[in-house]
Order: sequence, then C-alpha cells, then structure tokens
Amino acid sequence: MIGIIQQVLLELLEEKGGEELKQRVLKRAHVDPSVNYRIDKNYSDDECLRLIAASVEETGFTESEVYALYASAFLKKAQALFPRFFEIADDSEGFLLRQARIHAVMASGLKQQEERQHVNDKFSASPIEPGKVRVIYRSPNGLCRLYQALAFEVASLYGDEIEFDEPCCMHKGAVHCEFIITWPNKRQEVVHG
Amino acid sequence: MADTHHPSLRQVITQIADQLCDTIDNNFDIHVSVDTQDTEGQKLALLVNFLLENVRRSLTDMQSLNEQLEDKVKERTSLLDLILAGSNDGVWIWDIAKDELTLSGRWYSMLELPHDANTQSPEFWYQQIHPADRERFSNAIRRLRKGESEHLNVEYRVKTTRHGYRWMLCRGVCQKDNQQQCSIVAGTQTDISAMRIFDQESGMPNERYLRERVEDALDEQQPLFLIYVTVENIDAILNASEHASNARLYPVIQERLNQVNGVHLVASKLSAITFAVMGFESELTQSGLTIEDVCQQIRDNCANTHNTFKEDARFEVAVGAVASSMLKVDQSQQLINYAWSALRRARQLGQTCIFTETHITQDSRRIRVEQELRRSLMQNALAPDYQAIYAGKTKQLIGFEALARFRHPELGIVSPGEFIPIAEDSGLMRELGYAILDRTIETIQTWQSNALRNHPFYIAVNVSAIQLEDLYFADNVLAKLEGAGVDPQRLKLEVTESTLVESFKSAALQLDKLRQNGVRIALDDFGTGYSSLSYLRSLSIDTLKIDRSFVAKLHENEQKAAIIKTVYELATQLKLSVVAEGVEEVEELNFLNNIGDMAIQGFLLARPMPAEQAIAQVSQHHN
Ligand code: HEM
Repeated sequence: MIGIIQQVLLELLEEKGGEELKQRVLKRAHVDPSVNYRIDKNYSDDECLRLIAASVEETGFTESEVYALYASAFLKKAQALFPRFFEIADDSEGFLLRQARIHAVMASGLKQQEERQHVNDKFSASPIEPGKVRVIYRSPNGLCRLYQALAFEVASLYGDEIEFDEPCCMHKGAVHCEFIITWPNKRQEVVHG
Repeated sequence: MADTHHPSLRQVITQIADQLCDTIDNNFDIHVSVDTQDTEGQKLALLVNFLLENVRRSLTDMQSLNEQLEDKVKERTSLLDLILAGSNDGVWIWDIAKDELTLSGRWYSMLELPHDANTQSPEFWYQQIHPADRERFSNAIRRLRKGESEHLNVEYRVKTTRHGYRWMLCRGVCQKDNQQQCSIVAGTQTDISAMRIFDQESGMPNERYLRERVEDALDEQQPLFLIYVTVENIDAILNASEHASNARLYPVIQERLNQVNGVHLVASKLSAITFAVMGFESELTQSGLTIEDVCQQIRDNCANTHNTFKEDARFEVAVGAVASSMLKVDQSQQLINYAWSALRRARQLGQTCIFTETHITQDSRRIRVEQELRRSLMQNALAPDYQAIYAGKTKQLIGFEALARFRHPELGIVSPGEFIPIAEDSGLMRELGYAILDRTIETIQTWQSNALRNHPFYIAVNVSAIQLEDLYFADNVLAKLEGAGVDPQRLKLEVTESTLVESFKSAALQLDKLRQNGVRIALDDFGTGYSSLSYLRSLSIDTLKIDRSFVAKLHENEQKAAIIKTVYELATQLKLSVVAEGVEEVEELNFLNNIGDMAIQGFLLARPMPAEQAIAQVSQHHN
C-alpha cells in the first residue's frame, strides 16, 4: 500500500488525539513508532490493515465512523496535493471515473513493475450511461467500505447527490466487488431535458 | 528568499506538478511554463518539457505506425476478400477455447442456409455433414488439433436445403498458443461436387454420381429404377459424319435419354457407349407409367433420326432395366449389378430386358458356369466330343467334327448354347478355341498312329472370329501341327459366315496362309447367313457345310430340296466338297444321296461322343 494512505491516517490520529493516540495505535499495530510514510513508496498491505484495525480499537469509534473521518481527511489532503485533479473533473462523476487513473499516476512512483501493476489492477471504472458508473474493485485488502466513504465524500465535495449500490461484494464470496454509483439528479436531466 | 514577485522553488515545483496533472486525460500536448528567475527551477521545467516533447513524438510515431498497420490490414483483408470471393470458397474460423465457430456468408450460401447468426457451435457444422462422413471429419479435426497432421484436408458431403447432398473439400490449419496447444483452427470449404461427379468429356454426371444417388435413395427407402442403355453404333455415327464429335454427340444422347414426359430422369455416362438413367418409382405411379413404358419411350427417342449428324442415322440401343421395389434390393451395388445384367441380356437378345427374380437365379448359375469354365480351362480339363462324318453313299469314314463340350461333376453337362455365350462375354473364347484345337491335334496324333493308322481322315474344329483376329493364329496352328507330327491335311477348320462378317480381311489372311500350308477350310452353316455367294468367290475354301435347317425334312419340302440341289451344283462347279449337317432320318439320307456325292454328319450315322467312345464306335461301324 502506497504510503499516502497510512500518512493521512496517522495525521488524522494525531489531530484527534495527539501524539499519544498515534503512538498507542502504532504500538497496538506493531509498527515502528518512528515510522515516516512517503507518498512515493510502497509498504506492507498487512501493516496498513493493522493500523486501521488498531485505530478502530484505540479510538472506540465504529469502523464506519473511522472511514467517514478518514475520507474527509484524505480528500482534504488529496486536494491540497493535487488540486488540478479536482479542477479537471466537472463533477463528482467525472472525478470518480478518473479515480482509477489517479491511482495509476500514484503508482508510477513505484520502482517495480509488479508493484505498479498491483495498484492498477485494483480498480476499473466505466460509464454505463450518463449519470451511472460501474466500478469493479478487486483487492485482497477488501476495503470496499473505505471506497464507499470516499465516494460519498467526493460527491459532497462537488455538492452532488449520489446513490450507492453494491450488487456484489468480496465479503459475500464474490470474486470482486461491483459498485453502481448513480447521480439521480443528472439522470432526471437526461430523461426530461 | 522568496518574495512576492518571485515564487519560491517550492511554488515552482507545484506549478510544474499541477500542469502535469493534465496528463491524466492522456493529454501530453502541454507546455510547462514557470514564472521564476531560479535557474534550477528553469532547468526542471526545461527537462520536463523535453520529456513531454519526447512523449508526444513517440505518441505520434506510434499513431502513424498504427495507421500504416491498419491500412495494411485493410488492404490485405480486402485482397483476401477478393481472393475468397473469386475462389468461391466458404471460410470458417473455429475458436477452440470459446468453442465457437465463425462462418462466412459464402459458407452459408453453399449449404443454401440463411446467414442469420454471427457465431455457431461446432455441433452446428457437424449436423450438416452426411452421417456416413461425420466420423472421418471429426477424426481429421482431432488429428489436426493433436498436431498429428499439419493441415486439415478432408472431403465430406453436406446436406443442402434444396439440392440434396453436395461434396465439399475442407482445408485448414491451426494456430498454436504459447503452450503449443491448438487455439484456433481456420480454413476454407470448397464445393467439389462438380469435379467429383461429372464426366469431363461429356459434362454428364458420372458413375460415382449415379452410385451416390442410388445409395441416397435406398437409404431414404425411396424405390427407384435404373435403365442402362448401350448405344451400339456410336463409333459408326462418329465415323460417318465429319461434323460429329464426342463433345457434340453426348449432349444429343443425353437429351434422348432424359426426355420422358411426367418422369424426372437423370442420365449418367458410364462408359464411352453405355449410359444409365435413374428415376423414382413414385413418379411412375403418379404419371401412370410402367418401367417398360419408360424403356420404350427411350428407345423411341433414340430411333428418332433428328439431329444425329447424318441423315437417317439413328442410335441403335440395347436397353436393360431394373426396379428396386420389384426385387426388394437394399444395397446399391446389388441394384447396379442387376442393371448391368439386364443390359447384357438386352444386348444378347436384341430387345429390352427388365430384370426379374428369374434372372437372379440365372445369373447365379451364369456366374458359377463362368467360374467352373475358367477353372477347367486352367486345369486343361476340357475335352471335345467327336462326331463322325461318313461318305453318304459308301458309308466310308471321312472324318470327324470336334465339338466343344463342358461336363462338370456338379453342374452336369453344360450345353454349348449356354457356355459359349458366357465364354464370349467373359473373354474366354480365345482360350476355349485353343483348348479345343490342342485336344483335337492330340487326338489326331493318337488316332493316326493307332486305330486309324492306315485310314485317311480329318478332324474339323470350329474357329471363332476372335481367334482369327489374332495375327499369329495361322503360325500358331501350323507350329502346333508340326510339334505333334500331324499332317496339316488332317485338320479342317470350320468358319461360319458370321465369323467372317466381323473381320473379313484379317480372317481371310489367316485362312489363306493355313490353306497354303495344307490345312483345309470349311464354310459352316452355309445358307443361314448373309450374301453367301460373294464369300464363295473371295474366300479360298475347300468345303461347304449345308446347315441342318435345310436338311431337316428336306424330302417333304420342295423348296429346301431345290436349294440344296442348287448349292450342290454350285459347289461341284467350284470344286468344293459338300457336307450335309443334321441328318437324322433315312429319308433325308436317301434324298441327299440322290442329289450327289456328299459327306453326311448327323445322329442317323453317329452322335458326338468322347474320343474313346467315338473311335470305338467307328471300329464297330467298320466291322
Ligand atoms: C486524488 C485522489 C486520490 C488519490 C491521490 C488516491 C491515492 C490512493 C493511493 C496511492 C492508494 C494506495 C494504492 C495501493 O497501494 O494499492 C489508494 C488506495 C485506495 N483508494 Fe485512493 N486515491 C484518491 C481518490 C480515491 C477515491 C475518490 C476513492 C474512492 C471513491 C479512493 C479509494 C481508494 C481505496 C478503496 C483504496 C484502497 C485499495 C486497496 O488497497 O484495496 N481513492 N488511493
């Protein structure tokens, strides 16, 4: 997992509960307390998953609460780092359609071809019709809840309303997760306009 | 260091990075510009622009390469389309992994099927193939897929919607994946029906076609009939007219054979002069015709002199026919054999022959006789009977006639009337002729040194037209006589008028040579055949044999008596001896004796008998 994910989590913990909370989480997750995550390097997936689990346990929040907080923090950071990505997209649909490619940009910082491929393989987004996007997510990390949180956060960033549907999910035995994201207002425009 | 007018190095980097974010939409047509005095910042911008420039150039190169490739592919595809359209072949592609078949429009139209699916299952193909050819087809595909053969090359029949089965030649190759497994098989399908089933010379369907049609009909339990027709005088017609050629004659014949109202007939060419006409019995019933009617109609068509290249020329035909239902035939070869048999009979009898149950029994007897005749000839087990010939008035022995006989332990005595035509049909006449001749010379040799030591005699042997066609016949006979130490005077060869008609020139040559060397020649069956007198003039012979039909009851028939008298006078004038055949009654003998000096052959004086008995009887007679 590329370091940006963990970096945002640790900053969020520090912001909410100071250095002390951050250290407790690091300890619980058996991570080096002096760790310094970089956005152009790859780290163990398992370590990242341990950090997320430890955060839920140490904060006492539910998993979804953690994801919601995380999503807003992550996008704030992403916007600061890559404002242009948000400008290029006209709305949240355009952004979500580009999300897989943004990940590919991030992956280009990795040295090994297999590492880059691993990142690229996780997402593919395609338009079904205006106002309707299908995303296929396949990753051993099973972070579809995180995706959902981030998607809603992106929508609210653009002031859009979305409906989120997950017709199949790896947690229910499927080979991949499938998200159907709909922009009901947009679709009405299409139908009536 | 950074002031408001001059952005910090960090701001420069952000400027560059932000501009580069546009590449996410595959847009590399951007020029990064930075607003800084810092050389390091300018250096970075410069190198990023260099990088972008290179990306753009590579992209353009790739794009034009792609376009070129596409053009090439298009060009080759259209060329391939052209070739395929020109070759009239169907194209097929079988994706093994997907188990999916893609077939070209032509492939469908060859089978007269609508082209309504983009892909098919291989089973679809399999179902179109004639059941008898399916195994061959799947074996060929299996061998190709296993790599046992490099190319697919298999022939099979497919069922077309309107025209029954047609023959296809299917060729193909397979494409291998990284594991060397066959992943795609593709190739063409060519309609080879025409090549397979048409006679090149006449353009008519050939025997193979006929055979397949017969097989199909019998498989589908559709009663059918076959009419075999030999045009006996094709050569004569061709020779008689300068305009006639095979190529022009066959269409005329085909037309004659096809045209029977109310019945659809297909005529095939089996040989240069023999044709087969096939039709369905159901159509006969519908149009109220019998198979005899159809045969007669074909005969009538052939008798028509119109368009035969020579005035008054008509096709002389022999017609033999068989109907499958009449004989409960279920095998094509059997039906075809019957048709041939019917035709053979028709040619012998000179009239239409419809094959029936009776013929089957006769045929099996015929085949048996032929086999046994062949065997006897090989084992040299054939011995003639000898019938003594006496001087009518003095009752002195003059000679004998050797008569071909076929005695068989199981078949009994097979009459010449039965086995001679069989020998003729199966090409055994030459051998048979020589066998009788050899035995006769042996017999002369025995008798001249024993029983008939001091008695002049001859033995007469019949000679067939086929024997006389042999350029070395005379030489052979003379050599045999010399080898056996037999005086040529003791051998008499009997030829019939019909033998001479067939090949007069060569026959006359051989007979002259024999006669010059002492062998005597008799004209057999005199009076039964053609313009007998002209032969007497142009052929050097010694003896006239008056046919039994003139002898029988001649004492009661003035006309016969008159004829024999005239013949006798003519013969004496020409210095020919006369033999009367078939003398069975004393009255006949007396009558003949009254006419003049004649030799007498017939049951009255001697029956034909095996050598020992014949010579024993002669001795008795003497005593
Ligand atoms: C500018 C915006 C974004 C950036 C720079 C970004 C960057 C990244 C990076 C670097 C990773 C780690 C990938 C890895 O190592 O496999 C990641 C993971 C992930 N991102 Fe994003 N992301 C962005 C937007 C989003 C959005 C909008 C969503 C969802 C709607 C999203 C959902 C995810 C999820 C679910 C993962 C975890 C994947 C896994 O490991 O299974 N990201 N992101």
